Formats: sequence, C-alpha cells, structure tokens
Amino acid sequence: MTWMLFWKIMFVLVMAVFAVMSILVTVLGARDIRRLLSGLKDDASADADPSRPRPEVDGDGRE
Amino acid sequence: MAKAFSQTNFGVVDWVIVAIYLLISVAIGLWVKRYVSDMATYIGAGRRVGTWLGVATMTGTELGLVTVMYMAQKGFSGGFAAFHLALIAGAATLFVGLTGFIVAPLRRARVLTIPEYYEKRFSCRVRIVGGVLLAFAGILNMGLFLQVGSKFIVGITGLPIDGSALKWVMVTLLVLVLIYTTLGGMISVVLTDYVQYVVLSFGLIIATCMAVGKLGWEKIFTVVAEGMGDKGFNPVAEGSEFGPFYVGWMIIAAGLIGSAVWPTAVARALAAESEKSLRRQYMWSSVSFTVRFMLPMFWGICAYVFITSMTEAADLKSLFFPAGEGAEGVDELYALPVFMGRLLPGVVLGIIAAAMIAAFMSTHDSYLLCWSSVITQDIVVPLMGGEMSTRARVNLTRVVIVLIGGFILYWGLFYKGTQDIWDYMAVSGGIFFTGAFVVLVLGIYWKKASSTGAMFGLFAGFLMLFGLDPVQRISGLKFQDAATGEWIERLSSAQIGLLVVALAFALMIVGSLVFPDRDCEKGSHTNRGGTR
Repeated sequence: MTWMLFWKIMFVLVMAVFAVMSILVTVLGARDIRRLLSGLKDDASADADPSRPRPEVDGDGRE
Repeated sequence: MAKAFSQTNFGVVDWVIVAIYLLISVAIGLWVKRYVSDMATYIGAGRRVGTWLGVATMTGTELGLVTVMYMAQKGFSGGFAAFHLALIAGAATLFVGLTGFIVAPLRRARVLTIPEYYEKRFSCRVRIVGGVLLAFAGILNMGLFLQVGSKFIVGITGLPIDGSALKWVMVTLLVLVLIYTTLGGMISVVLTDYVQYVVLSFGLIIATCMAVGKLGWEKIFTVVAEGMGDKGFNPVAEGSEFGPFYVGWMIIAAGLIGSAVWPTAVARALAAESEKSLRRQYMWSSVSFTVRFMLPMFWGICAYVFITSMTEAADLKSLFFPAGEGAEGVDELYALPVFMGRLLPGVVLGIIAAAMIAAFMSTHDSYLLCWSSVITQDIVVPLMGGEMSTRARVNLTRVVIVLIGGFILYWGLFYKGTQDIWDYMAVSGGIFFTGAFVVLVLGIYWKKASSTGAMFGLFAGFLMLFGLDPVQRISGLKFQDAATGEWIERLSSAQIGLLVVALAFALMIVGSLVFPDRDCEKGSHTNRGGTR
C-alpha cells in the first residue's frame, strides 16, 4: 500500500465516522442539555430552601 | 493584492447570518446566569455534563479558529504528510478514553483544576507554583489567538486587509466573548459549544464535499504528488519538514498532552457527571480530535491545489508563490480564508463563517475561564489561606477574565507577528505542559513522588525557552554557516522538547528520592467554601 492510498482510505473512513457521530451528538447532546438544566434547577432549589434535602447523585449521575 | 483578496462571495445575507448567530450566543450567556450559584457551577457546570454534551463541548473548545488556521497552513505546506498529526491526536485521545490515563484519577479526586490536584497530592506550595506557571504560560500562549483568528475573518469576508478592519474585528469579538463568559461561566461555554458543534460539523462536511466537487478528488492527490513529491505524503521522507523526531515529539505534545494534560481539554473531564461518562466522552472525542486536525489540513491542501493549478486563481498564485529567487510570498495564513471566500456560495459561506467565528469565540471563552479560574482558585485563594467566600471567588474570576481579555487585545494589536508564531505557541505552551505532564504522571502513578521532586519537575519546563529562535541563536544552539550564511540548528525544537520532558522526569525522580515528603507536609486544605 502506498502512502497516497493509505491517506485516501483514512480520510474517507474518518469523515464517514464523523458524519455518523455528528448526528448522534446533535440528538443525544440535546437530551444532555435538558438533563443539565433540570439538574441545575434542582440544585438551585435546594440551595434556596435549606430544609429541603439536596438530591444525592451517584457515580453515574442518577439521583 | 487588495483586489485579489477582496474577491469573495461573502454578501449582505452572510453578514445577517453571522449577526444572528452572535446574538444567540450572547443571549445564551445572559439567560444561564440564573444557574450560577457557586464555583463548581461556574467553572464545572455543576459536574452535570453528560457524555454527548461533553463530546460537543470538548470538540467545540479544541476546534478553534487558530487550530484551523495553523492546520490549514500545515496542509498547505506539508500536504498529506501532515495527516500524521491528526492520527496521533485521535489515537492518543482514544488511548486516554480506554485507559483513563491521568484524567480518571483527576476526576476521582473531584478537583476543579490541575494545580488543585497538586495540593491534594503534594502541598499548597506546589499548587501555587504550578498555578503561577500555568497561568503565565497559558495567557502568553493565547496572546496571539485574537490576532490570528481575526485575520481569518478579514480574509473570508473580503474586508480591507490594509485598513483598520482587523482592529475592529478583534475588539468586537472580544467584547462579545467577555459578555457571555463573565456572566454564565462554564454553563454558557457548554451550551454555546453545543450550538457551534452542530452548525460546524454539518457545515464542515458540506464545505468539504463542495471543495472536492470543485477541484476533483483524484486531481487533489495528483497535484500534491506533482508539486511536493514523496514529501507530500510520507512524514518521514527525505527532506520532509517533519521527520522522526518531530513525529515522536508530537506523540507527546499533540497526542498525550493535548488530550490529558492541556487544561482546557481536562476541564471537560472535571465537569463530567461521572468517570464512566468521562471515558465514553474521550473515546468518542477521539474521532473529533482526529477531524479537527485532518479537515483543516485537507482544506489547506485544497487551497494549495486551487492556487497552484486553477486558472481562475492565477492572481493568487503570483502572490503566494512569486517568481524570482528570494521573492517572499504573502502570509500563508491567508490562503485558507481566501480560498473559502472564492469557493463557497453565499449563505453557505455565511453559515461556515458564523460557525468559524463561533469556534473562535468558544476557544476564547474556554481559555479565559480556565486561566482565570486558575488565578482565583490556585493562586489567590491559597495565598489567602483559603478564606474567600463563594461570591467573592466568582466575582474575582470575572474580573480576571476581563483583565486577561485586555491583555490579549493589547498583545494582538501591538505584537508584530512573524512566521515564527507557531514556534512561539509551542514554546509558551511547553513551559507549562512539559513539567505538568511529568508531575501528573509521577504524582498519580508513583507513590514516592514528593513535593520537592514536583517543584523540580515544574521548573524544568522553563528549559523550553531554548526552543525559541532568538534564544537558540544567543546560546549557540543555532549557528550561522560562514560559507553560505545559512542558519543551522544543532537541535531542533522537537528534539529540545523531548529532551526537556526526559530531563523533567529525571529531575523529579531524583528530587523525590533525595527529598522525600514528611507526613506533616502533605495536602494542606485551603479550598474551604465554594466547592462541592
């Protein structure tokens, strides 16, 4: 295999994977944003109300 | 030259698209201010950044406009041989994701910055010294981002290259970045990075397809082969601008350090919601890290093919490759934006320009936040014995962001850049990252590493200054051949970089063994208040 052929294959492969990943990040990233803002809202509520217990979050981000 | 550079498809519609995009970014910053309650939220987005959002923001930050410009320049001058840098970056990021090398232990330690880890592992003294070095090197490193990025915008929009347009572009963009960064902190950064990622990723793919359609897939490779020969494909070919030492140095610098030590990338790790999310984020980001180098390089290659082989670019060829021995061409940095301005139709050009401006801004906001939080958390607070309220910390960080912004504007306006700007960035960054890499690796994976050893390792980074051209000439590392007048280097920057890392390892190991820590010196806690 020549260097030229190697870079041709590599470039096409990387671009194809990137295209698929971009779709995943767009869709699943939007879901993560909803979770982020919801979690921050909960934190803000807990800070504002000392009598309300702050939700405990485990190692995977679940309450 | 002005006439050649003003030929662009950038029109009124494109300006409108750019304006709308920038307003959305500022609006996000204003809107999320309500969520900022403490330093963990301001700097770490409350550690609630999920995997996919983490991928978007990590890529958004590291795919900066300056990266695009320099990688395009690498492609323009080095051809496909430059692709090896992209492979190295991707492979190293994947390795970090699979193994958790450096980043997983940092996340487990629940620190907000690298110097904070230094204190937990070693002592407050190491934290302060590490913080000073990091902030110094980091702020110097970004000193030319504003100027270089603005050149892209001037080039692509066809604004007058020899007027005051460059200055006004710099001022306008900096003000916008400062507004949403100071207000919203990391939350703003994450959200705007996501928007930027979506727009940029699809825009990049479309623009790449258009470039290939215009030039021809096979022709791109053929022209490079004819113009550069084997050097255009093989990074270790005879006479290549890269070579084996360069490749080895890039494995450390662009690979491991770029993904696991460079603070703005590591900041994503520290903001991840869990260690599992962090590793997934890195594994997926390995694709983005490959693309962020490879795509701009490909565009640089396309710019080379366009300029050297297309009849419609004959005016550009005479500017970039003037005939006559010793004739100096135009700054190669302008090749990419000028090419894009001629290639892409209106609307598409506006979307790409907006996304690239967003990339420019997202890099600035992340870097501003990173260095300012280091100054607050790792220098000022420890010096005050840890006694600083949450509100004061957040406000101080905001003030420092504005001050750093003022510095980079000043530096960008008055620093007279040369073709050695890339060397400048490598040296300034290396002052920090050579020592930090060693201190983190040994601190995490070697129990006998001591505070004194860490200090030796950190200070070894200053030896990177010998990679700078003027220092090399003064020190004799570079000398002038009496017969030809040519400057010959005894050691290349890459060789110096490798030597400095090796020396830092040696100094830290020796220092740790000769001066071990006493139990009472370890981990003084000065981080009371403001973190969780």
